[in-house]
Amino acid sequence: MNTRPILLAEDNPDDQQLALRAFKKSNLSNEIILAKDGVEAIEYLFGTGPYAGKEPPPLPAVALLDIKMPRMDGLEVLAAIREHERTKFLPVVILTSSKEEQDIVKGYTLGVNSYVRKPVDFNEFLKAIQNLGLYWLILNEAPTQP
Amino acid sequence: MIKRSLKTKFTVAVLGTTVIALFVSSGAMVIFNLQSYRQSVAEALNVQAALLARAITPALQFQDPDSAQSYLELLELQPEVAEAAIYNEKGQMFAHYHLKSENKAPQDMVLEEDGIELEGNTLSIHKQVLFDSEIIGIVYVRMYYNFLAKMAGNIAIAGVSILFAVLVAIALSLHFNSSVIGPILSLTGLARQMTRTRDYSLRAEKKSDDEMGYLVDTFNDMLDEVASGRSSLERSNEELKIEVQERREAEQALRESENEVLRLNAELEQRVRDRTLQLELANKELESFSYSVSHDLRSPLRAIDGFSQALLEDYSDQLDETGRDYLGRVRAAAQKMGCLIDDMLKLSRVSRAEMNLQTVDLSSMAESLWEELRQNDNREAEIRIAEGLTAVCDPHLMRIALTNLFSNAWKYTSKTAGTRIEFGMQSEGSETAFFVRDNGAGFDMKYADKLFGAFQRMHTTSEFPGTGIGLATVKRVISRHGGRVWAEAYLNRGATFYFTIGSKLNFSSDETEAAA
Repeated sequence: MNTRPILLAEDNPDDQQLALRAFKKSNLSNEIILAKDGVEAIEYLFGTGPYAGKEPPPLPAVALLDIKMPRMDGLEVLAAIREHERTKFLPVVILTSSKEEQDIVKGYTLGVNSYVRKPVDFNEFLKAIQNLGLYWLILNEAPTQP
Repeated sequence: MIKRSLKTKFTVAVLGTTVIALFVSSGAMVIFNLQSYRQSVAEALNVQAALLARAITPALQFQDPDSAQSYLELLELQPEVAEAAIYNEKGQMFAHYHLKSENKAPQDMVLEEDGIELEGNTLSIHKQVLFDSEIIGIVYVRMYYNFLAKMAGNIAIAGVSILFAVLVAIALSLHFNSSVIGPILSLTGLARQMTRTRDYSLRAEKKSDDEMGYLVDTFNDMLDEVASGRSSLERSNEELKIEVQERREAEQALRESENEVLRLNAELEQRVRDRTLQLELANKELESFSYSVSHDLRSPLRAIDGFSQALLEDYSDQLDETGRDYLGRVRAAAQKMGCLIDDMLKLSRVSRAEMNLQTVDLSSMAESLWEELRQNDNREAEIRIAEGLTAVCDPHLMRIALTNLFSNAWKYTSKTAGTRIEFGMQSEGSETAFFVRDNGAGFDMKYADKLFGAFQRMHTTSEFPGTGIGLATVKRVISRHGGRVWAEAYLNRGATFYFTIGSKLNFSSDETEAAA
C-alpha cells in the first residue's frame, strides 16, 4: 500500500470536513494535505510559496482536485501538473459537484486520470472515497519517483 | 418652279407640235399646188397646141397663111395665151399672133422634138404638125405662167391657217392647263401643304370623271389610308407612351419596393443579429446558470446530508426517536433536492444539446430500452413494439424521450395486473403520430394541460415516485424536432401518449405486432 500523502484541494470547509470524515471512515491512514485553493495546491506540489527554499515536500500518491475554487481552479492546477516535468505522471482525480459535460471533456483533454462526482448522499460519497482509496492507493501502480 | 416648268413644257409641246405639223402640211400643200398649177398650164398649152395643129393643118397643106392668121386671131378670146405662132416645114414663120401688150419679134423655129419651156413668167410649147407621119409645120404657143404670184398666194393662205391653228392650239393648251395640269398642280400643292403641316384631313377636289378624277380618287383613298394608318399609329404611339409611362411608374414602384424590401431585409437581418446575440447571451447565461447550479447548489445539500448523517452516527445516543426521525427527514429532503437539481439540469441539457439528425430505427431503439428497463424489474407484462418504425431525428434526444415515456408507462402500470404496453404508429388526420399506450393508472383529462409542465405531477410521490420532469423533458425533445406531443387518458384505465416528428416524410409504416 502506498503510504504517501493524499493531496486534497477543496475550498468548501463543509466538504473538507466531510471528506476527512469519509477518509477516516474508510480507514485510510495516509496523511491528508489540505489545500484551500488551487494556488496552495501548486505551492505544495512545486515547493514554492511557504515551501520555498526547503527540500520540496514529497509528491502525493494521488491529488484530489475540486474544480470550482478561488484564485486558481482545479482544471488550471491539472494543466500545471501535466506541464511540469516533476509532476506530469502524478495521478490526478477530479472530485467535484458537477458532471457538466464541458468540465468532463476539459478534464480528460488536460489528462486527468479519473473524474468523480460527489453525490449528495453521504453514504454514496463514502463509497466513492473508499473506492478511490482502494484503487489509487492499493491497486494502482504509479511510476517510481521521476 | 415645278409649276412653271410643267406648264411651259406642256405649252411648248402643244405649240411646237402644232406649228411643226402646220409647216410641214402647208409646205406640202404649196408644193403640190404649184406642181399641179404647172401641170394644168402645161396641159392647157398641150390642148391649145393640139387644137391649133388640127385647125391649121389644111392651111399649111394649102399654103394659106391668111386662114391660119385668122384662126390665130381667135385666140384673143383666151387672154392667158400671150403669143402663138405657126411655122412651116422649113421652120419659117407662117402665121403669128400675140397679145397687144406683148411685143415679141417673130423668129424662125428649129425643127426639133416637141417640148415645153419656161420663158420668164410664161410657159411655151412647140409641137410638130404631122400629116401622114410627115412634119408639115410647127405650132408654137406661149401662155402666161405666174408662178411667183401663185406661190405668194399659197404661202399667204398657209400663213393665215398656221396663225389660226396656233391661236387654237394656245386656247386648247390653256384649257388643258386648267383641266389637266390644274388638278395635278393642286394635287402637288396639297401634297406639299400636307408635308409641311402634317394635316392629313385635307382632300383633293374631284373635278372630272376621267383618269384625272381617278387619280384624285386614288390620291384621296391613299390619303384616307395614310390618315387612318397615321391615326392608328398615333393611337398606338399614344398607347405606347402610356405604357412606357406605366412601366416607368411600375419600375419606380418596384425600385421603391425593392429598396423597401432591402431596407426591411437589412432591418430583419439586424434584428436577427440582435436576437441571435441576445439568444447567445441568454444561452451563455443559461449555461453559466446551470453550471453554477450544478456546482454550487449541490454542495450545501451535501453538507446538510453529510452532517445529518454524522449526527446520526456520532450522536444518535443523545437523540430520541423523534430527533432521529427529523434528521432522517432532513437527509431525505436534501437528497430529494439533489434529485430535483439533477433532473432540472437534465432538462436544461436537453434544451441546450446540439441536434444531430439522422434516420433512426425507433423499433430497435425501443427494444433495447425495454430490455434495460426490465433488467431492473422483470415483472409479468406484455410489451408490443411495432416493427419497422423509423424517423429522422436526433438519436440521443429521442432515446431520452422514449426512455421517459417507457419508464412512465412501466411505472404507472406497476400496480396493474396484466400489464400491457404498446409502442406503435397511427395516422392522426394529415400527420402520422407515434404512440406509447399503457393500461395503467391513467389520469383525469381535466389536468391534461398541466401534464407537460416541469415539476407538475398527477400523482403523489408516495403513490408513484418521481420529480415531474419526465414529460417536460419529452415535450422539449419533441418540440426541438418540430413535432407535438399530447395524451389521452382515463383515470385507472390507462394512458396513451402521442408524438409527431416534423414532416410526414419522416415516417415509414410496417406495423406488424411483436410481443415481448
